[in-house]
Amino acid sequence: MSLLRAWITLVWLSFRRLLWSGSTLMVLLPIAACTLFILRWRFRLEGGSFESFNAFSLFLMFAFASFVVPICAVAYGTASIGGDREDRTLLFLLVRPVPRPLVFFAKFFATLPLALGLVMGAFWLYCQLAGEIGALAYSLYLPAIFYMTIAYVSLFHFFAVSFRHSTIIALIYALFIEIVLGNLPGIVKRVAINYYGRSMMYAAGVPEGLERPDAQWFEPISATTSAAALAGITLVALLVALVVFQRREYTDLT
Amino acid sequence: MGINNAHYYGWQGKLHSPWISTLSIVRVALLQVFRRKSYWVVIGLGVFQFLSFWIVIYAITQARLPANAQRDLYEVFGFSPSPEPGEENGYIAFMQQQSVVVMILLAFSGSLLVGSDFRMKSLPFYLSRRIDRRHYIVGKLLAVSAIVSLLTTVPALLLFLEYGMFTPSVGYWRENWGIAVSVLAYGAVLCAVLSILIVTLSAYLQRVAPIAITWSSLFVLLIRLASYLQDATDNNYWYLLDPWRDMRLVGKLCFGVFLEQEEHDIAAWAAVILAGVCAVCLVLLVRRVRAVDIVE
Amino acid sequence: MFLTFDHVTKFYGPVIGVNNVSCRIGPGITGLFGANGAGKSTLMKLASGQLRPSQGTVAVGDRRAWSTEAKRHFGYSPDINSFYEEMTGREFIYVMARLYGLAKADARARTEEVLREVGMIDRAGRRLAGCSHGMRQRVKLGQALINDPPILLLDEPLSGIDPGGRREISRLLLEQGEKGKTILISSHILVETENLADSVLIIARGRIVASGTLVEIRALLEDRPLTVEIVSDDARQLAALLVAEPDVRGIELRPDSLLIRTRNPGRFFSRFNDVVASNQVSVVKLQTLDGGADAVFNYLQQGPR
Repeated sequence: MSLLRAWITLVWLSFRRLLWSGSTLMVLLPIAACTLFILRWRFRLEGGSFESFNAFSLFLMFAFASFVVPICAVAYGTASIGGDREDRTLLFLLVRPVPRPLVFFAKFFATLPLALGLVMGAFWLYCQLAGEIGALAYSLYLPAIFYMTIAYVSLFHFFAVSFRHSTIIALIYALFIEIVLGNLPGIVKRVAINYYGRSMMYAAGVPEGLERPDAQWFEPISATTSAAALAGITLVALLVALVVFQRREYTDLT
Repeated sequence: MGINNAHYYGWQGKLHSPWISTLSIVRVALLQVFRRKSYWVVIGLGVFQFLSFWIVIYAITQARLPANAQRDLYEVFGFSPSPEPGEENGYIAFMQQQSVVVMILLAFSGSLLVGSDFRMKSLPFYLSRRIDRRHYIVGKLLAVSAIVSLLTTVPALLLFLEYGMFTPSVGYWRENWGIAVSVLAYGAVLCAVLSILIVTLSAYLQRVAPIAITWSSLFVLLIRLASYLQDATDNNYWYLLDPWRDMRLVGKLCFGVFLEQEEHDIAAWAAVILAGVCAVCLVLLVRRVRAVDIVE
Repeated sequence: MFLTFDHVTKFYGPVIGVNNVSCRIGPGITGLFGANGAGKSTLMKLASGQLRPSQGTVAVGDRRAWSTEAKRHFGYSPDINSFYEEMTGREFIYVMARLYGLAKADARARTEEVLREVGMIDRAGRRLAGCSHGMRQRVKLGQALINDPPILLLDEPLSGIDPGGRREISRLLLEQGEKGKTILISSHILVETENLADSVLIIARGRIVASGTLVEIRALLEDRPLTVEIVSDDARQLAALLVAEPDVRGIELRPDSLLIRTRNPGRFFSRFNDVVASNQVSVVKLQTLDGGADAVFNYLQQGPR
C-alpha cells in the first residue's frame, strides 16, 4: 500500500514538473506554428478533393509526424529522467525505498499522457481545422500517430537512462539521423521509427486517394507489419531501458 | 578602521581596455566547443563536406576532366566557380550546405556557451570584473560568430583560394574578386543573425532541450511550412518565413547575384525582417544580462 | 543498527575509489575525514546504495545497501546543492515524505516536525531557488530525517552554515546520536566536527588509515614528530639542557617561550620530566602545538616519514 502511494506520488511529481517545464512552452511553439499554417492553408483543403487530401496527408507525414511528434517525445521523453540527471535531483529518488523499475515506470507513465495528449490533441486540432478531409485523415492516421508517439517516447527513455547528454543524442537522432536514414533508398531506412509510421499512413491513405510514393525511394511495408515493428521497438526500448536503469550506477549525480 | 589601514591598493600593472577582454570570452568559448568530443561528430560533418568540395575543385582543375564530367560534378555539388549571370554562386551554395552543420552545432552549444552562465549563476564572474554587460554580450556574439565563420566563411574562402591556385594564372582571383567579397558579405549576415538569435534564445531558455526545440522549429519546421504555403498560394512572400532563405537573400542583395526576379523582389523584405528580428533580440538580450538574478 | 563495510573495494574503471575497506559503524556519531579525493564520497555513495562495491559487501543492518529494503533504514543528505528549485522547502520535504509511502496527513505532520527540528519552520514557505546555502543545508538534513531512520549518512552537513546554525545542527545531531542512531558524518575539516564525533575514521588514498576516538588515535601516534611550546623563567638554561637530548630535532628560542621540535614525543616527555626535576628548572606552561585534530589528520594523510 505504502509502495503504491510512493509510486503515485512519483508519477504525479514527475507529471507536474514536466507539465510546467520550459519544454511544454517550447513544444507549443511548433504546434502553434502548424496551427497557423493550417488556418492559412485551409482554403486549399476545402472541397475534399483527392488533391487536398493528398496535400494534407503529406503535411501530416513530413511536418507533423516527422517533426512535431519526435519533438514532443524528446521534450518529455528525455526530460523525464534526463532532466533529473542533468539537475542531479535523480539522487533524491534513487535513495528512497522505491524499487528502480518502479521509478522508471513512474517516469514513463508521467511522460506518456503528456506526450500523447499534446500530439493527439494537436493532431485532432489540425484535422478539425482541415474540415472534411481532416475528419477522414483523423480516422485513417490516428493509429500510426499513436504508435509512433509511444515508440519515440520509449526510445528516448532508453536514451535518457543510458546517455549523459541524452537530449542532444535524441534530437540528433530525431531530426537528422531519422530524416537522413528515412529518406535513403533501400533497406537502411528500416531502422527509422519514421519509416514505419509513414508506412502505416501510406497503407491507410493510399486506398483513399493518397498518392503512392516513388517505389525507388520509399517502399512502404504493410500496416500490420509496421504496427508490429513499432510495438516491438516500444517494448524492446522499454525493456532495455529498464534493465539499464536497474543496474546502472549514476556516478554523475554527486 | 579606515580603508587605507586595511592595506588595500589598486592594481599596479597596466590595464587594457575592457573591450580586449571580449577576446578572452571568445577564446574560452571556442575552447569549450572544440574540446567537446561529441561536437566533433557535427564538426566532422562540416570538415567532410569541405574536403569533398576541395577534392572536386582539385579534380576539376588538375585532372583535366572532360567537359561533361565537369558539368556532372558541378551539378552534384551545386558548385560553380565563376558563375555566369543566372547561375548559382558555388561558394554560396557551399556555405548554405555548411549552414546545416552550423545550425546543428549552435542548437547544442548555445546552452554551453551562454545558457549555463545563467543557469549556473556564473554571470557575476564576468560582470564583477571590469567588463560590463556590453562587453559580455559582444564577447558572446563574437564567440558564436567565430564558430559560424570557422565553418562557413573561412572554408569558402579557402576553396576560392584553392580554385585560383590550381588554375594556370592569377586571372581567376582578379576576375572573380567579387565572389570573395560576396562570401564575406554572406558570412557576415550569417554571423550577425545566427549569433544574435542563439545568444538571445540561450540567455532566456538556458537548457539544451528548449533551445534545440525552438532552434529546430525556426530552422527546420519553418522551411517546410514556408515551402508548403508558397506552393499552395503561389505567393513568394511566404518564402520569407524561411530564415535560411532570408539570410541567403540578404547575402545576395549585397551583390545583386539573383537567379530570378522574384527573389530580388523579396530580398529587401528579407533584410527588413532579419533586421527587425535582430533588433528585438538585442533589446531582449540587453534586458536579460544582469549580474543579479531576482528570484522572488 | 550497524553499517558494515566488509573488504569493500570500488573501482571507477582503472581508478580505485576505495581499497579493501572494512569497518563496522555502530550507534553514535562517527566522523569520516579525508582530503578531497580521498574516497569519502565513494564510501558515502556505497553506504547509501548509489554504488555497488566492485568487491566485498556493504550492509545496512543485515541488508545489502544497494537493495530497496535497505533504503528504508537510512536517511542520506548529499553534498550536492541541487533541488527541485521551483518548490518551497516545505513542499520538497513533504514530497520526500510521500516517497516513503506516508499518507498525506502523516507526511504533513512529519514534515512540520522535521522543519522544526532543523530550524526551518518559519522559512519553509520560501522557494528553494531563493534560499541561502545554509537554509538549503537544513532542508537537505530535513529530508534525510523525514523517515526517522536508524542510520543517518550526512555528507558535509555543516558546510556553509553560520556559527549559530552550526551549533543548532550540532545539538540536533547530538540528540539523534543519543537516541541510539548510527550517524556517519563526512567532512574534510576535522575541527568542524571534532567535538561532535564520538569516533572517527580517517581515510586517505582510498584506505582507512585510522579509526577510533581522536584521543586513541593520538595515543597511537606517540612516535610522530611534534612541536611543544614551553614557557619557563629559565628558558635559556632549559634550551641548553634540552639541546643535548637525542629526540630533540630543533629548538627555537622566542622572547616569551621555547619551541621544541621532537621526533619521538613519548620518549621526549619522559626525558623532559627527568631533566626538569634534576636541574630544578621552573616550567610555567607546556603545550603541544600541533596535537589538534588537523595535525593528526595531516600526519596520517602524508604517512609516517
